[in-house]
Amino acid sequence: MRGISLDVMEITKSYGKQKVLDKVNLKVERKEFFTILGPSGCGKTTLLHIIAGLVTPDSGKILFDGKDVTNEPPHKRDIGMVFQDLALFPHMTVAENIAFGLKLRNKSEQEIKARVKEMLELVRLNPSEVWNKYPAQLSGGQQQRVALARALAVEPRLLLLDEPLSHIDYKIKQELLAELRRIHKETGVTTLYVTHDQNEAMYLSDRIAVMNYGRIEQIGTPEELYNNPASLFVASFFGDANIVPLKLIGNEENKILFARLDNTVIFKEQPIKDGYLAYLKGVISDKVFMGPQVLLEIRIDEKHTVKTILPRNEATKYNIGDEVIVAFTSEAKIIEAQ
Amino acid sequence: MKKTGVILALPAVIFLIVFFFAPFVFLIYKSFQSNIGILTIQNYLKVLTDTFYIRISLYSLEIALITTLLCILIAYPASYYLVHVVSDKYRGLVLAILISPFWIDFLIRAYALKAFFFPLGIKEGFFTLIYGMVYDYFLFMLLPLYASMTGVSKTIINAARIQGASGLTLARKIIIPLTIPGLVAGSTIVFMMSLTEFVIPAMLGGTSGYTLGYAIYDLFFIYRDIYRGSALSVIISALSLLVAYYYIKKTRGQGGIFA
Ligand SMILES: Nc1ncnc2c1ncn2[C@@H]1O[C@H](COP(=O)(O)OP(=O)(O)OP(=O)(O)O)[C@@H](O)[C@H]1O
Ligand SMILES: [Mg+2]
Repeated sequence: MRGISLDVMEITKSYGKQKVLDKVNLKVERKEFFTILGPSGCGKTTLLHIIAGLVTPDSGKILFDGKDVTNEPPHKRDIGMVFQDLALFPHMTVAENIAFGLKLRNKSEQEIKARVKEMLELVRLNPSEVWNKYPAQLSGGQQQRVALARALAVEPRLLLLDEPLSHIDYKIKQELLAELRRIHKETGVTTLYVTHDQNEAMYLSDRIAVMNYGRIEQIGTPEELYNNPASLFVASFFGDANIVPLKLIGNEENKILFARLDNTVIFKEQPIKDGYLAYLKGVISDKVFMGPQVLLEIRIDEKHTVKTILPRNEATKYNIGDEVIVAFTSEAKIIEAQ
Repeated sequence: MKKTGVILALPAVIFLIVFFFAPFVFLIYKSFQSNIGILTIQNYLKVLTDTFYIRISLYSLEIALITTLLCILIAYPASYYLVHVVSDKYRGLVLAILISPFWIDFLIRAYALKAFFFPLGIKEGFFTLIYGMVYDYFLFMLLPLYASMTGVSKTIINAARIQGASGLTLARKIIIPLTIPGLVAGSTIVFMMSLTEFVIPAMLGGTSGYTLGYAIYDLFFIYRDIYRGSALSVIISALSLLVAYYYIKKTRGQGGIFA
């Protein structure tokens, strides 16, 4: 497959008075798996539609491999897309759906048949079983796979995926995530993935852009975002974290302590060893078994609770109602309140 | 519970029998009668072998086909425009404007067209006849097509565009197949109604206005031959029923308006 690079430059879009996208900039490298992560309504679909040519931006440019395509219509952009609601053609069989783009490209009957079969195998569907079925006769997970096969069949230069797994059961979702990862590795197509689910984003992406209210808040690898969030929004949206106002520890400053769960520790008594950032008193209010680990929730006061994660055997020492001391390791950060 | 239902439906059923089926049965009865009251199939033989009526039937068929085709050509883009181009805010308004002429009685509409053509110096004939027919029946094509078109989601169209379809390809491969029920319903209605239309050809047809509807009118009211008039009417009605039956069979289970 031919993976291209994608530049989104200063893209702005308003609907009426509402600014849906505000000077969005990002660059996706060739063969990269790039994710746009943001809450519902932040403008993800709009941005994807602008990249696909389905919506015209108010200003800004879209470049494919450095070439300006802002004014190219969608049918000339040579991309693949899986829509939020799939949009399989209801009057066509699975094979016809996948062959649709190939027929428009004047491929021979034989070529098309071979390609459809290859695509069905790529998304792990049994060709002879689904070939003549209509979309309505498939399960949600199967439909998802067909939508992906259709998008990939035309050997797109760029693959756009708009929350393709949002309506899928947890178990099948995990399965499809693994397939997506494998398919990206096998095809090497530049992929732009949109989701509001941080776990999907972390699992799949080379890099992630976190979006909020039509703006990009931060771009980085999952690790960078996790370790060095640029804003409170990124910190809280990406990965579980404890966010504690410093006032709680008697500090006058209007700042916030931010710590990942694994940077949050608890003790039965004040530890002798120093080097922790702050100490808080609390009471264990909840204990959740999560397989190899146990999640503990500690109540500090009426309004504030913090969470931590302990290995299973470690957690047996603590019970609901126990008084504990919470401390934060030096990886925790102090950031400005917003 | 079931009994009250039957009783409640009774007035409507009686109404239908008395005012709808009874005249039709009377028509069929008359079509098999000679002018001295003997049962016969002569009326049918006469009508079916008379080249005059065959020629007029073919001419009416031609008018009905052209009318149906033109209605399709206009109503397809119009319904697409209404559903997928006009914003939600203005859709109701545009639809209301399109429908507004049909609040006026069709006879008055026909007079309005006459008054419209005359100062333009357009002579009444085949063109004005077709114009009047399309003008009168356009809505019966638009509404079923519009209903079907609302079932074609924007993302389906977007998906097809991204796959490389545009313009006529998009229409042929996606939009038309998905709106077949509306197309067939609209075509059936327009075709059946324009096949026997009488007022428009009479008023706007000029010398090209002698159609099937006109011929039936003449048989009844000029020649006072209600027997042959009935026979011709029954033949046309049977043909119409056949078309309707074919449509219902074709679209059953596909969400057509009769399905
Ligand atoms: N055609 C439109 N007309 C008016 N407003 C629109 C239109 N399309 C989107 N919007 C608005 O733009 C904002 C962003 O919409 P968008 O669909 O891009 O969000 P999203 O991030 O994809 O959300 P979700 O996760 O729910 O899919 C929303 O507030 C939405 O109401
Ligand atoms: Mg969306």
